[in-house]
Amino acid sequence: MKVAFIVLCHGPVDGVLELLNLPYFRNDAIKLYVHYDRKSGAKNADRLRKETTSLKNVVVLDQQINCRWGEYSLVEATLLGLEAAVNDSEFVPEFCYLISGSCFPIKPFEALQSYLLANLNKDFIEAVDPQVKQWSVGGYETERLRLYYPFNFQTQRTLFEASGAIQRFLRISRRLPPAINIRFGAQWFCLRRETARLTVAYLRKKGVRRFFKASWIPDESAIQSTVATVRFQHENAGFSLTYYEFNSAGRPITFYDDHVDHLAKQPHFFARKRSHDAQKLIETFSLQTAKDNGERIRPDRIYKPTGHFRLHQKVFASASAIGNRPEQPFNPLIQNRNDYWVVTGTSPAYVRAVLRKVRKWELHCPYDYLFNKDRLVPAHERLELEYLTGKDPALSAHELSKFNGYSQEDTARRNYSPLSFLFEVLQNQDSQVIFALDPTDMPLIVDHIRRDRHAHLIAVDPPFDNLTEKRIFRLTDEEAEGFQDLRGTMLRDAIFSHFEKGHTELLTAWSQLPAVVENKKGEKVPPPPTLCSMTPLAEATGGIADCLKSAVQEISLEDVFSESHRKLISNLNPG
Amino acid sequence: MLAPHLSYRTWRRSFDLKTIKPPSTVGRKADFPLFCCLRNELFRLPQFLDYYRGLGVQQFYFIDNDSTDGLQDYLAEQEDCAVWHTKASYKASNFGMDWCNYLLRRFGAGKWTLCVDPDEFLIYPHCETRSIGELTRYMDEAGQRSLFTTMIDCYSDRPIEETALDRDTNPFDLCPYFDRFNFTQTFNEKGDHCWVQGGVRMRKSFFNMPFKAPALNKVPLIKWQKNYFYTSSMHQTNARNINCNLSQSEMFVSGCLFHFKYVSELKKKSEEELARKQHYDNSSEYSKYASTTSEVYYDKDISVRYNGSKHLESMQFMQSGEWF
Repeated sequence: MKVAFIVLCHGPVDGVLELLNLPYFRNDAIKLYVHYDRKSGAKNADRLRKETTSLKNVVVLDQQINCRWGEYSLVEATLLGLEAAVNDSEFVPEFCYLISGSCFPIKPFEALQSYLLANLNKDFIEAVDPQVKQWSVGGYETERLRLYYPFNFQTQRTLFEASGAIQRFLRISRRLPPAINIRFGAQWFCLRRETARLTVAYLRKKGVRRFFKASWIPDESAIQSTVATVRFQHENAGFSLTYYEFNSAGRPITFYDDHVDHLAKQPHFFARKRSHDAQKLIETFSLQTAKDNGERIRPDRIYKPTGHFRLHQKVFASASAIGNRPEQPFNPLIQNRNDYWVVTGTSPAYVRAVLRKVRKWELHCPYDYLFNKDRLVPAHERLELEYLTGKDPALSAHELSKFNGYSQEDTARRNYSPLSFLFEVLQNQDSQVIFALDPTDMPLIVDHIRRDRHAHLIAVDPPFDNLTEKRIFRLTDEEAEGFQDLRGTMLRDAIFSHFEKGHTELLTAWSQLPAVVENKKGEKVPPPPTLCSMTPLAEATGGIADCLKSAVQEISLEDVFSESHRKLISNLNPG
Repeated sequence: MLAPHLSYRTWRRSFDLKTIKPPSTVGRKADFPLFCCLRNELFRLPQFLDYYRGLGVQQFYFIDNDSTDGLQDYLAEQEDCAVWHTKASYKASNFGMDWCNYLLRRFGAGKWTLCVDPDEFLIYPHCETRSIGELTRYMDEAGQRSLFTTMIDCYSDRPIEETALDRDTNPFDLCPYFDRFNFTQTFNEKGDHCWVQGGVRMRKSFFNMPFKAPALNKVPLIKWQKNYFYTSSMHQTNARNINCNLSQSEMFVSGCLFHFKYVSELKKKSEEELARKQHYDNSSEYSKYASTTSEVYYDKDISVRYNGSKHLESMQFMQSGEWF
């Protein structure tokens, strides 16, 4: 099985020589036809010719085309190579394989040989019918052929865009050559000799040549369309034997030294592009090529590569890193994998009393209101507790005021970056983190917890069903004093209007989301669903809920609430 | 973006500099020159040079602010190092930036230039296997003109005075720990500049006034243009769209700068700097270091050990964008 390689290359001679000198190509069944871009200079071309005289199976084509990206010159260069390969009387290849200077083999030549031997009646060129599926990433597709492109995209960008706009306005649509099947695809083909001969002959026709010459990026349509025209559809495999990936800007991505494992997994025979500094990459694969004799790698199916790279694109497009956009700021909590419990309730005094009880049992160590706007008191009565139980009299008052390492001193730090502080608390504690939170606390934290699937909200309320009674227990002692003179309906209305002004109702505050929010592009969309679940304590399950339940049973309202609160309750229903 | 006042400053300060050793003809053409202003930090240099040579830097430009530790003798032996000397005030030259701006303008225009302090080591995604040339080629392709970095203060698990850095110690082995919490970013109103704070300096020195903590965002790698100037250390340039460009495209990469400040020489340096008062805010930051060098910065709950560029990426201190 003989294979002719057509190599399109440009740029530094060393890079080209590195490829041509690969042990992979030192094989009698291979001949290389090298087209060296005229733009790279006559000096370089002379050096390339001189350096390759010792390589018997390398032919550097005499005719050099000035290749420009997006123009017909690339097709012309390819045709020159194909012609040389087809007309060579000494070396009669079965297949012609097009590679570029930055391609490199990732499978031994024997594997390619045996694969081609099993597919003797197939051509390998990507050919996607634009009527069935769009092939290109971004940009226009059929317009590439329908309009005239007298200007270069890279060097005459403004003229290029203007001429496109004018032609679109004039509704210009060129007539296709008769009986041609338009196909798009990457140009890295592997064609049978006969197909190559027919392709050259067809593209040398005057009308066809003129048509593709005026189109844009003909290297991604000319040969593809020709093969689809001169051969039956079932004779073309429809995919390429070269592995490549396009990034979201439509450019082929580059492979580096650390891609050896990734590339070894791909069921292709060549890959592009390689970084010119990636010595290890090309060495690894050429070593494998040299020693791999008996072992045959035969891909059963070559598919359009996706997977790894697409996943990478997706993950990093959604990631928020330091320095990222303001509407999607760095959020350390994205890295959090620990579940945590948030105790909330209409009456902060009651919640505190419950948590104090739990803390005394020393099974869990719940914090108090960690995100209270004004101050940070991790555990309210720590000091008092330590004195009562007489533990460690040597500890100073300062150390005692610390709870799990946090104290009033950390307030400034917490207020400056609440999310970082929460992340720190979650990561620093070995056991499960429990803390109390009120919906009127820091909005950033409340908003985050509402959307965090790791948060478990438990509502702990004094045993009252009546809404007004619940509200009375939300009053502070001083506020309760102020309502002492009111009775019955008057008191009810006064408390109702008090909360209308200040706090919102607890349960609705937790579930209240704005009707529409703005996304990254500034469009108005429905808000993301509330992810955390808010369960009343009675319905909650699990160790922490059981602990809270038994704490609630041990608490009597007399301990928690002052005389004035109880008086308000009795005032509510006089008689 | 024309900045006549900056041009004037740079031109006026350029007279401070005296050429000791100009770059070689080959060195002038090198693709990724590195610019650095230093004083009495010879003990860091061998590791510094090794690290950046490993990344692919071919030419170094040093501004010696009147060192007394034999810096010039050492640099005279290094083929890829060019040296300028000055006795002028560090403070008057905007903390060395005017001198750097002058050299950057003269030797760096049109190239990818690195501008770092001698205790800063650049990390970018895949920096173990990919050279700085590969990084800049990717950035060129993606249309990125500068590399946004976050500075990470590193320390060892021993007191500072016992953390001795000498010529043969790799700083990454000596000070492998950094803070994993506390990083915050603040944006300006337009959202085109971001200000990062945090790390061990926030935890130890600025816990009660976090808003005063030093900025940790830097732009050390820039495709330099003639009209660019660093305005506030390496934190900011006069060209707004290169200061914090991550929000411009999802393809863009960012990096980290490892800052090896907390070593035993800090005490000596602090005493000297306090006397000279040449650093930011009259060297006020150094007053703390002069007194408390027995402090241990390591905290088992907060510190993490550096474990490759992937690690930093997973902690979201930097991102690799679409660079696969």
